Amino acid sequence: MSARDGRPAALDVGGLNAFYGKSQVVFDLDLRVEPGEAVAILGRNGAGKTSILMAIAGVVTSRAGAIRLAGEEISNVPSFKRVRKGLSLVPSGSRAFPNLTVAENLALVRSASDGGMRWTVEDAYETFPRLEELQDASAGTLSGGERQMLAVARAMLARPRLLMLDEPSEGLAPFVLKEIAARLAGLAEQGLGILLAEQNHRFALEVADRVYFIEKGAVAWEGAAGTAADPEVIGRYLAV
Amino acid sequence: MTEIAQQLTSGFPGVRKGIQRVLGPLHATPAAFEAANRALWAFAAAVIAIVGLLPFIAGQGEILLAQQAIYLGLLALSLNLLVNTTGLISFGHAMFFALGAYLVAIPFVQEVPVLDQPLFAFALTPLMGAVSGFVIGLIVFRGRELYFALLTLGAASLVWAVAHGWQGLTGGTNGQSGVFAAEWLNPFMHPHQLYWFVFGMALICTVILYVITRSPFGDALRGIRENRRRAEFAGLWVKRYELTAFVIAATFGSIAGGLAVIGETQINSGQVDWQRSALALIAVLIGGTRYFLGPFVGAFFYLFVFDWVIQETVLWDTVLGLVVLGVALLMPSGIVGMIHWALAQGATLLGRVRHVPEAVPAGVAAAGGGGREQVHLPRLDEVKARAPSPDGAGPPVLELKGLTKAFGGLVAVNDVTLGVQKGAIHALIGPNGAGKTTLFNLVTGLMKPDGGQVVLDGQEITGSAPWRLVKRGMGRSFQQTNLFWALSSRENVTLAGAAVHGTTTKLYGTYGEPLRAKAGELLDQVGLGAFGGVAAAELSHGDQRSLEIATALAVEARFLLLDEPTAGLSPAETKTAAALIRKIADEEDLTVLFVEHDMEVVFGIADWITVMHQGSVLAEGTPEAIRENPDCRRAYLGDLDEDEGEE
Amino acid sequence: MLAYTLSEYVVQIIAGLGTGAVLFLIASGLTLVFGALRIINFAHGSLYMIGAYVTVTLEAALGFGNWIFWVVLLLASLVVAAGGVIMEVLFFRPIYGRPLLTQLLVTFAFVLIIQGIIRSFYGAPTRTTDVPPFLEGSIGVLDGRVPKYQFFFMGLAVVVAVLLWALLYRTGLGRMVRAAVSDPVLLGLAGVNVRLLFTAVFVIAAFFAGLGGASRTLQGTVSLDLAVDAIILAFVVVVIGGLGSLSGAFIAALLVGVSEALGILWVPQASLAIVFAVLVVVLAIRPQGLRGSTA
Repeated sequence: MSARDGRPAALDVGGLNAFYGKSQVVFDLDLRVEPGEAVAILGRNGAGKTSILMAIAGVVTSRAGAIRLAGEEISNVPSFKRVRKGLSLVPSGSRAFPNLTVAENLALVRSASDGGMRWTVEDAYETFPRLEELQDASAGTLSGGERQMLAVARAMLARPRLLMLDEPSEGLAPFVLKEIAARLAGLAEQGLGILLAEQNHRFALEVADRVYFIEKGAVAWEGAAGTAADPEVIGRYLAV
Repeated sequence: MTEIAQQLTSGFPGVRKGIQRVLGPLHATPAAFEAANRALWAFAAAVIAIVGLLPFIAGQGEILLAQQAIYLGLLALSLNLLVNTTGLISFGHAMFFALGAYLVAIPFVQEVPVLDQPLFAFALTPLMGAVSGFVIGLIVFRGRELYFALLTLGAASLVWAVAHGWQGLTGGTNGQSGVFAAEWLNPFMHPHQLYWFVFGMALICTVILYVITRSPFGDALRGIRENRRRAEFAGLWVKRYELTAFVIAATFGSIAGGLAVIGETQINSGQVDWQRSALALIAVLIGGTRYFLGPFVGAFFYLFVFDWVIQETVLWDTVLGLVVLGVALLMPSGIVGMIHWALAQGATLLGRVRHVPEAVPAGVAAAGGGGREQVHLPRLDEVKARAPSPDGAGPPVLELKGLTKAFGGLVAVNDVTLGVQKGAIHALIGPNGAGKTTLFNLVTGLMKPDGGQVVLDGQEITGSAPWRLVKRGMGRSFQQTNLFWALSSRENVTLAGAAVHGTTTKLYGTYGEPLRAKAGELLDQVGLGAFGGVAAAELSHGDQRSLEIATALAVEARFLLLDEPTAGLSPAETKTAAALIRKIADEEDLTVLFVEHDMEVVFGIADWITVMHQGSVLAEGTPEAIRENPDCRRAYLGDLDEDEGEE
Repeated sequence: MLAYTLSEYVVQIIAGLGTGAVLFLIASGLTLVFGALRIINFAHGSLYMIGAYVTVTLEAALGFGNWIFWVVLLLASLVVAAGGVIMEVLFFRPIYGRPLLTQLLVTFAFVLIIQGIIRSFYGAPTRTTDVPPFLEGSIGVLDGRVPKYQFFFMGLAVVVAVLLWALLYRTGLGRMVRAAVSDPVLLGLAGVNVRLLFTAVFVIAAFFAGLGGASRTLQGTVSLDLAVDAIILAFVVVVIGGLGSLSGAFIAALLVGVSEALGILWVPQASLAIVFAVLVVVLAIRPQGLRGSTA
């Protein structure tokens, strides 16, 4: 389900090149996410998925033709400012600040964006009721699934136009994954653009509308999720 | 351009581009650096010759300075055994210098019988260094990394406080003087002979240190520097190796101190304060910590240059500070590093002039070109469950009895009892937070249980240190790959094999041929035969996992514990890894206990499954039994049926 | 050697608490900087020394009248804070995340640089200042007398401790600092300007080090040895207290101050020995320090 009502793309990347020190890991990549669309980038380990997300977030050195967030050019903007403009990344590993309470974790977020949607701490508690129960608990005592929910809530508090998630399914039990997938679908329905990087293609294809397969830091295939689910396609890009 | 230089110019892209355009064509290849190595040897020999022949070519002033550079250089060289080879930073190395120096000076001045012969006392300085190194080592090794560094600073301050405060014994700031070692070493009558004595002693010490650095023991130290945890699990009692390195460094530090007294005929507390320790570190840094003779180069540089600087300006310590800053930020490989780089440039230019095709180092060639060896690995669907149900197959080779571990209020492992049959491939599954990794840590000695026992082959091993377990035949892999990153695949495997056989206690020589041949075989077995020369850090993720299995085999583990062996691997790599585990276990008749999240792998290769939930064992049985078990489905498997259908 | 009266002991212990109080001013910044920036700053003692020498100059120019005294303290601390900004922005930013040896050598380079500069401005001989009128004289304790400035030190330390605690646990800035202690990259992803935060933490630490140095002038002579003597003791305090722990630094500072004072009574030439004995004992029992975490 993608919105085609004249709004600029939530994310429009052209000619992205990213580097870890001296080695280049992303080669001249083009990518697009429409508002309200969920897009997945799939690929083998080491194909460059995390690097792509980190480069878009500005955490990793990159040189790009253009990175446009809802029409605004951000490739020369420092990382934390990109967040404030509405680009949120949930990094891999269900990370939280273990020495702060859940409420303090949420209170940290600084944003100037409105992403077209209202999202406050109340909304966070409504979407993830478990977090409200745990609000005074130290984040270090939460389980993996709870920390991941906290991470998504934190990312949403930046009121993003684009939400990026890096391997959100890693290390989580199947029933937790179902819940997260449902939440993400709900957010997309409200007009949020979603970009997720995954190795677990089953989870990704459940959530995404469109898919890019990445090989050695470049796009190898692009198409609708339905087509991507074809075992032949999957076999070609995720097998040896 | 060094990373830091890049960072500093990151605000000025124009400047950076300019610099890169100039330096670009000069970029030296790895092969050029290797070629330059040989030139460096020649360079080193020339420098040693010059220093040795100094009395013939220089005046008295230079000779005295050179002598001081030799003491400082030897101190710095011994320090570098810690800093570079083992990765330990000591801030107080001058304390051993002090102990050696006072050992020679005090008995002479106080006229203590027997010891008042300076040369005899000098012969005893190694013993002084070794003993004090051992005693002080026991204290400073209570801390790790930063705490260790600060403890060495503390211990050194203590030694200095005694030297400074106990005037009756040491003479305090006035110190002890007039220590003449022998007639033939009198600095006024035979300055050249004295110089050659100092030079000769230092040369002998340097040679000994070189042999030690290049020995299997040195290799083990480098492994410890690269990855402490992996070293533990290769069978090295890390603390003992580190303490030994500390003792050796202390030994040579004390020799340097004794030599200094013989050369200068005096010592006082001002010469053994924090500045001396700092100077030793600075000499190491300026010379280049990665190069064996770097510390000497740094010492000579410091003494000769700053002898001049001190006379020129009252801001001499500011100048020194700026030099240290500059080297640390812009030239981290030190003076010798710069020379090496220059030689490599020369080699590159020479090669260009002669149009010699660039030689590619062996390891890279193998990794790049399609030299990926085809190893016959059984496909997952070909593999059938091997040994039939473990019931009645004899006593378990590994037994966990009532293991319990709590962290504060959270009970991570709750009275867990399970047994692993010999030759079985036993899977441990469960949702996050079920306690699986904690259980592994309890079994492999990384944590002590609050209650319960672990029994391997009938012997209790509860709470044994990892290296001891390795010697008993237990190998472990980790969720995140743990290898000696800077070492090549072959070196990783060889070191693991050497460690478990105790070869790494050899302070000289090299590994024998059998050990090396075995390493080659193991690499072939896991399909990495063509990648022997590639550094572990440069292998693909899947190959790194295979290398871990090879190192586990190298320590001759009969019993493997694998923590999420396929974590982070692509679906294709996962299949390969699972099949490899099965193949190796069959070929070597190993027993395997592994934790996994990937149900395909679990149901593909496991003979027996234990399901954990919230710290306790929920169910146990054959894969079929577990699949049917409704409790397991509810707790964990969820929509497994759907997934099964798709494949 | 041990034949001192109770009164002499009490007086000496109070003196030790005073020293400990000044140590806390230095150590609190050192431990905060380590906790958040993960950098161990050798030059922190040099910042303290700058504070002392700047105070000497200001006192010579403005005198130490009852009100001027506070102004001078504030000015000296601000000067050091400004120096801290320059140091952090220009030289420390490039070394975050670098190996330990690089960080130690770079911060140590600053010890040397600052030492040379101070020597060229002030020369090698020691300096002294007067004491402001309201702190002149001493207070009788049992049979002995304790200089008033010792109580000033203790009061100052308590105020600073409360201020810092409130900052960390009751303000948004403090929340960000605590977050930075556990995961600075994640903090950046929450939209926080982490580089600026680091500078802020460093400046606060420098300010209090400067304040410590400025106060120190009340105690006696100011010399070039100050920097290294201070940093060694500050390291001991931070290690005993636990790296990154403010409460640990407070307890440890008092402990070290009193140990040193008692050491001066018992073994005058090797009072340092007592301090290090305490360090060794604490680390033997609790290797991560009194209030450090086992991470």
